[in-house]
Amino acid sequence: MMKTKEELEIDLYKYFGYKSFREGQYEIIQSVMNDKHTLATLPTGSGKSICYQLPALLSEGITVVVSPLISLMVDQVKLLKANGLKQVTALNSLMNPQQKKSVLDQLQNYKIIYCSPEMLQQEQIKTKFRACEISLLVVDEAHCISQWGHEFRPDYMKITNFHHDIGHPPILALSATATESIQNDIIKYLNVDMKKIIYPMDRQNITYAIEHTEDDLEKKERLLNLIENNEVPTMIYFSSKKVCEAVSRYIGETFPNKNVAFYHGGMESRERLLIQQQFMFDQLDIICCTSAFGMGVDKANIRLVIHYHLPSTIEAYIQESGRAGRNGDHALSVVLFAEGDEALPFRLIESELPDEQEINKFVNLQEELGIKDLQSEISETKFRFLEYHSTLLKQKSPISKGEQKELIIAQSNHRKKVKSQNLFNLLEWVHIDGCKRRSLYNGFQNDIRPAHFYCCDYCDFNIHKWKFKKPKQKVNQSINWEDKLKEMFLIGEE
Amino acid sequence: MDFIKLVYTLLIKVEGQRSYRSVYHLLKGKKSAQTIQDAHLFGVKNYFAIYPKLHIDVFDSIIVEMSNQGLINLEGTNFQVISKTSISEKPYANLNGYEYHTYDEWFFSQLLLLAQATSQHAHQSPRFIPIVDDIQVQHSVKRIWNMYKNNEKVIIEQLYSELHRLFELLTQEEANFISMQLTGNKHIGWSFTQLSEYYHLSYHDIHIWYKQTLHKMIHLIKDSNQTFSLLALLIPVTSEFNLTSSARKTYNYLQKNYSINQIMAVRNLKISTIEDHVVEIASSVDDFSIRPFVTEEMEQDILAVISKLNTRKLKEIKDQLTNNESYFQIRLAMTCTNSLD
Repeated sequence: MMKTKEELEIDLYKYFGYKSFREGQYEIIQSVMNDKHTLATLPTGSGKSICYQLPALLSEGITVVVSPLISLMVDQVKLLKANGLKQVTALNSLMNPQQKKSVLDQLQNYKIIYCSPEMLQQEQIKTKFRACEISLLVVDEAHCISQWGHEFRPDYMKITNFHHDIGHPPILALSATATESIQNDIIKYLNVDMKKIIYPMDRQNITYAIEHTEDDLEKKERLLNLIENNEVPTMIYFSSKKVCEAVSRYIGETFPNKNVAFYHGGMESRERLLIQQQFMFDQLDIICCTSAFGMGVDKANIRLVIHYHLPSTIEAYIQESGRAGRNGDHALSVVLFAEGDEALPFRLIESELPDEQEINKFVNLQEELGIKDLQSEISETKFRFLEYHSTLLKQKSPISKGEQKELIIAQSNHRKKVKSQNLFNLLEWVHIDGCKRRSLYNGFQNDIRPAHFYCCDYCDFNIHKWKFKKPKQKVNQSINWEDKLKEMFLIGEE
Repeated sequence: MDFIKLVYTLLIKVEGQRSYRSVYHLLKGKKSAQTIQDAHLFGVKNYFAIYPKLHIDVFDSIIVEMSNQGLINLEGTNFQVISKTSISEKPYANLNGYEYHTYDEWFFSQLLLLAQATSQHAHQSPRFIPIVDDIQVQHSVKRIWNMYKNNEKVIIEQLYSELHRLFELLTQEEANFISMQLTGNKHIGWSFTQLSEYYHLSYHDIHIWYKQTLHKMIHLIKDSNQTFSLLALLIPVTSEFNLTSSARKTYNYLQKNYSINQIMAVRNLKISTIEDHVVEIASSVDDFSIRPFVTEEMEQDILAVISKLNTRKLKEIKDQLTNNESYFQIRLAMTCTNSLD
C-alpha cells in the first residue's frame, strides 16, 4: 500500500526533521517506492540523498548505494548517524579485514549500505549480498558511468552485472550533472528501462560574476575587497594547498576581526575535522579550501563562494559554487581569473592519467612482483586506470604486449582529450560575452529559469557596488578554563 | 615548549656517538632495537615517540636551520655542537614518552569525545557529529557512556568535577591551553594551527607543549586512581610491556625456555632479528636476565672497556676486547649500564 504524501511527510519529519519535501523529492520517492527503475537529476544542494534514504528506512530489505568517493560515503554515514539512524555503514577499501568481516557477517541488520563500485566486484561480497533481500540499488553520481562524463569510473559499467546477480531490484540512478547524452549512457549501461525524472539544475538564488584581473597581485586586491564588502559565511576555493594556506594567512592578517582558516587534504585528520565543524557552527567566517573540503558538508547559510583558482570542469564548478545558498537565500558566486590561470588545471589533467612511459612500465611488469613498486610510484587514479584497461583487454582475445600498450595509450589519450575539452568549455564560459547563467547551464538544459534575485554580471549585476551586510553575532569562546568547563557542562547556572 | 631547544638538548646527548637522524628516530618512536636501546643508553627515553607525525623533511630543515644559526656543525649526517650552553631539561620534566606513547593519543581522543558527548547531553541535544572519527575510540567511549546509562546527571557532574580538579593541578596556562581544545555543545575546539597563531608559537612548539601537558595529566590521573575514577577509565590497563609486537612473541618463547636457535626455527626469522629482540627485551623488561647470553666475566670486561673509552660506539669497544665477544653480547652488556645512569 503506497503511503500518501502527508504520511510520507510525517516520516520525513520523524527521521530527518524536515516538515515538507523540497522540489522533486516527493516525485522521485514515489517512483522508487512503486518499484520503478528511475533516473533522476536534481540540482546540487537540493537534498538528493533524501530520495533514497527515506525509502530505505521505510522498506523491508537493504538499500545498497554505489558511491564513487570514500570521503563522500563516510560523510553520509556520519550525518545519518548524527540524526540517530544507526543501521548504516560504508563498505570501502579503507576497512581492515576484521572491520569488513564484521559488517559482512551482519549485513541483514543494516538498512543502508554504501559501497564503492570496486567492492561490488568481489566474489565474497556478491555472495553475501545475494543471501540478503535487497530492496533498492542506488547509483549515486551516476554520470560516472559515462566516458563523456567529467568523472568517468570504469567500474560503474559493471554495476549491471551486480544488479543481475542480486536479482534485479529497482534501481535509482542520481546525478546533479548529466547532459542528455550522459543520461542516455546511464540507461544504456545500467541496461534497464528507466523512468526519467529530470529537474532543471540551474540555481535560481545564485548570482554569477567573473572578475578578470591582470595578475595575482590584482587578484588578491579584488579578493580583499570582496571580503571587506561582504560579511557573510564565505568559501574560497584553491587548487594549490600552498596558495590556500598563504592566502588564508594573508586574509587573517589583513582582517584581524574575521575568523579565517584553511582546509586541505594535507592536514592531520583531527585538525581537518575541527576546522570543518567550526565552519558548520559559524565559528569561522571564511574558509580557504581545496576541493578536498566536505563533499558531504551541508552548511545552509553560505552566501559567498569565491574561486581563487579554476576547477577543471564546468560540472566541478557548478558543484562547488552550488554550496552557496542552500537555504534559498540570495547567494553569490565569484570567479577570480587572471590570464595564465588555465595552466594549472591543464597540468592537473596530465598528472591524472598515465603517460606512455608509465603505460610501458605497467604492461611490462604486470605479471611480475615489480608491479607493487610501480603502484607506490604512481597515483591511485593512474593505477586504477591502468589496471582496469589491462584487465578489460585480457578478457578479450589474447593480444601481444605491444598491442596492449598501444590500446591503453589510445585510451589514456582519449580521456585526456575529453578532460581537456571539458576544461576548454569552462574557459570558454569564463570569457563569454553574454549571460553567464544561460551559458553555464547550456549543455544541461534547454532553457533557464529566471533568477530569484540577480542573474549575473552581464545581465543586471555589478559586483563592485555590491555589499552583503549582515550583523553578525560573534560567538566568543572562553579562554579561561573554568568558564569553559561551566559552559560545556552547564554548571552553576541554577 | 620550544621545539628547537628540545632538539638541541637531544643533540647534545648523542653528540659524537650517533648521527643527528638518531634524534629524529627517537622523537618519531622508531620501533627498532637500536632506537629503543639508544633511548635508554642516552637517558632520553622520556622523549621517545613524543612526535610520531614529525616528517623527516621538517626535521632535516630544522637541523639545517640550527647549523645556519651556528649552533651546530654539520658533516654529512654527523654533527658537532658548537656552543654547549647548558640547557635545563626542566621544561620537559613532565614528558614520559617511553611509558605513555602507546596510549597517550588514545587517551586524549577519548577525552575529547567523552567531553563532547557529555556536554551535548548537558545541553539536552544528544545528536551531534563526533569530533573524533576513529571508530575504536567511538566504541570505547560508548562503552563508558553506557555504564552511566539513565544516569546522565551523574556523569555530567562527575566529568565536570574531575576535569575541574585535574585542571586545578595544572598551571593556569596549561589548563586554559587544554580546555581550549575541548569541543562542547556548539563550541568546536581550537586546532593546533589556531593555537599556534593565538600563542605566537610554532606548530611544533604547540605540539610539544601539548604532549607535555598530556603526559602531566596522565601522570596525575594514574597517580591518584581513586580521585579520578571516571578519567581513569580512559587510560588502558597495560600489563603488557612496551615491546614491539614481534619482540613480545620472542619474549614469550624465551619464557618457555626456547633457545635463540629454536626461536629462529619456529618463527622463521633471521638470527639478527632475534638478537635485536633480545636486546630490546633486555632494555625494557626490568627483571630480564642477560646471563644465558653473556657471562658475568664478559659483562665486567665489556663495562670496563666502555668506561675506559667513554664511548658507546660498538666498533671501538669491540676492538679493545680480547675474548672475541660478539656485537650482540656487547649490546646486551650495555643495557646493564642504563640502570647506572
